[in-house]
Amino acid sequence: MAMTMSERLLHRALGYLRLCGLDIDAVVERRVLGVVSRVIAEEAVHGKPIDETAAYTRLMTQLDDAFTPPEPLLPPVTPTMVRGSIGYAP
Amino acid sequence: MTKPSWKRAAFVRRSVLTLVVVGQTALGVTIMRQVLPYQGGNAVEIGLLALFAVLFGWISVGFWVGFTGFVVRLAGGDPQGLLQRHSRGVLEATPLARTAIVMPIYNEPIARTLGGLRAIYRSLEETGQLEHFEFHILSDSRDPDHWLSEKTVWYELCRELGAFGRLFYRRRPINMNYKSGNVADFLRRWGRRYEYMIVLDADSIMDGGTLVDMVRLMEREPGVGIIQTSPGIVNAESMFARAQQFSSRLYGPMFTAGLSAYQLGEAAYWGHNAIIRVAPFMAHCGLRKLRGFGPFRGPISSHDFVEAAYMARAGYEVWLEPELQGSYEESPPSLVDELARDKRWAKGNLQHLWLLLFGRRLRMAHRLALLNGVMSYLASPLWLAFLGLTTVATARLVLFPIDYFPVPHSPFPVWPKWNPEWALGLAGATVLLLFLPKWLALIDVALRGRSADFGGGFRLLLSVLLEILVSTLMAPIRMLSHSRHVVEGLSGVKLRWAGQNRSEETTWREALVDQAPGSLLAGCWAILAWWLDPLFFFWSLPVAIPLIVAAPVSVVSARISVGAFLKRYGLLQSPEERNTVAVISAVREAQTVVSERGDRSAFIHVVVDPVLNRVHVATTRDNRPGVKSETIARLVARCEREGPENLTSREVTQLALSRGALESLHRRAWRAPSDSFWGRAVDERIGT
Repeated sequence: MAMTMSERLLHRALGYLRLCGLDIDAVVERRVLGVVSRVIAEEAVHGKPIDETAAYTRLMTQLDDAFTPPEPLLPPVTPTMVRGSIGYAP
Repeated sequence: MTKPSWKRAAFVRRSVLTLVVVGQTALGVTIMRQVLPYQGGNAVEIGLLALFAVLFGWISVGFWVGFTGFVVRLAGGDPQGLLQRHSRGVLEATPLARTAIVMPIYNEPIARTLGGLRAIYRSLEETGQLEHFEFHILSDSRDPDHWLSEKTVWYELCRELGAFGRLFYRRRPINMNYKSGNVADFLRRWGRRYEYMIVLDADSIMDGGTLVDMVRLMEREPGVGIIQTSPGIVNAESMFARAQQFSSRLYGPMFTAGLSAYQLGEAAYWGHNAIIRVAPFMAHCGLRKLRGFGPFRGPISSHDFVEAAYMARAGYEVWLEPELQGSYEESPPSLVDELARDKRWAKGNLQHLWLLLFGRRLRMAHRLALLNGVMSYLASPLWLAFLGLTTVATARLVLFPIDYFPVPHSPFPVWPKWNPEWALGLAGATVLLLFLPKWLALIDVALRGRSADFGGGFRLLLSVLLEILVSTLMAPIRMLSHSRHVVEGLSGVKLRWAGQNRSEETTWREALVDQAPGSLLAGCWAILAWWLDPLFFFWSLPVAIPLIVAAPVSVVSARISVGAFLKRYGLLQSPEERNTVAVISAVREAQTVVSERGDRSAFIHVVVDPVLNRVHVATTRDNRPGVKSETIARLVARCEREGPENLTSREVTQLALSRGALESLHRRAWRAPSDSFWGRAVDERIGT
């Protein structure tokens, strides 16, 4: 069965936060539900179908404001450069 | 300054080898002359004798190297050997120096290469000496999905191993001068950070203890520039690879011991599984482009022998140390893959002819090592020419009246003589030179009580016979292919440097396309031989039959199921299959772990996954020189609309190399509707 818009928003929000490394517990779920409710309320105007792109855009913006996912540890890709030259004998 | 003792030993040993080989070859040529009907009295026979002299001398060297190895091992090792100079206690008390472990890769299977590196890392960790080592993955991969995947796996490995700041990844934006150019690029940037570097191949496996020993040996021997280990083949699955593995494990140690006994401090570097003293390597081993003509112009593609020669020219010793265990590599899975690799090597080795003749101040031992490399391939067209001249000589005898006066202006007739018993004797001697070392290796294993490692006495015997059969079937195929490679190499056919196939089987179509010309040629030759003389036909069969059945041999030998069948019955077994070697088992385990992380559509993964996107953004420069921001903006818009599948590899690369593009695409992907490309990619990633 096709998902409703609010279900799609919820899945995407939870999926995003999970991939960002956030533990999805009951508190997080309640806060995400709140964000999704707000997005639906703000996007659903005059009984028209919700614009999906606009809803996702609003969702992602609000998620960024509401949550601070853990910063991934970033390894140095290379060590500090110590320039040297190669000798070319005849 | 006194000469090191090994130099005296090297002079004596090499002189004796030269005398024996020259004497044996002279005897062989004398007998061959008697075998020929006109005793070398015409141009064809003179050509035959000249070719025979070169080829008989060549196989004689191989025989005596093997025989010497047998004797050295029987005597308990070479007293001149590098490892023999230091007791275990002294070595263990030697402090280590900072060492880089570098793995240059180029479109290689990621699970295997980086899985191997993971196993090596773990093995080194277990020695408790990890703090002295740093790992560098040096990628030359071009396909954006491939190198993004490499970088993703690098990040995952850093996290899993806790290797932040110890495991590094560098991808060259421009490939120049093949693998040696990649290593030189590393050295220019970070060479001065390290005392030593250990160079690995994509399929190298090295035990941590061996790596530590190599560094300690270098610390103990400041005059040594390179120590080369002798990697044994492991992890073979197909029948072809198992035969290679078996011969490498059974005959390899004996031949390596023999080779090392003659080379001593003037050995060759094989390009991987070796430790290099960085400072002299940087100072003296830069490879200039060749300034000759045709194939002798441009970058040197087979760099290792040349680098060893330059290191020795700078006054440093280069050692092959057969006693260093725990060094492994893998075999190409099939004959087709081996021959594809040989095509590159053949061209590279032929280039050495230029250095052999015009390289300045190279040591004689290294000129001979270069010659040895050249002959590895040049021997094939010489054998082919020998067969061709034999056919011409037979045709002359059959089709033309006997020439009683082959020597111009001579009043004395020459009566053609046939000495079939001499011919048989000579053929027997040649077979002996080729195969006796294999039996000596078997005796060597039996004397050491190690037959069980190879499946026990009976299976070992069967395996040697099977390996002889396989190598006999493949020798003519290799001869014909190498001849083609030599001709192509010398005629300047463009070289394509590609990653090796390390796992796939050969299809019938591939084998037929590859082998059909050789099979056709051999079939025609056999028919001609029959028509000329049935006896000559029978002489031609050992070469003609393998070529005629080359396609099925190629397919069957590449089958993993055939290899598994042999393994089940303990045939072509190697010691590492019987006795578990931790680092090899770790590679198999790591392959599984890493392959779960590898992704064919890595670009999509990097765009969608928030953590990976942040990692790639953080490790990518913002603006790539030469690419305009408008171009990137246009590509981002197209990629958002159509997905990366509709972009060229070059366009995807431009996006993947732009921090802004990766950030922008990530933002857009998560805002994309579910029925769009990126919406589906996001839903797939989060498992909706």
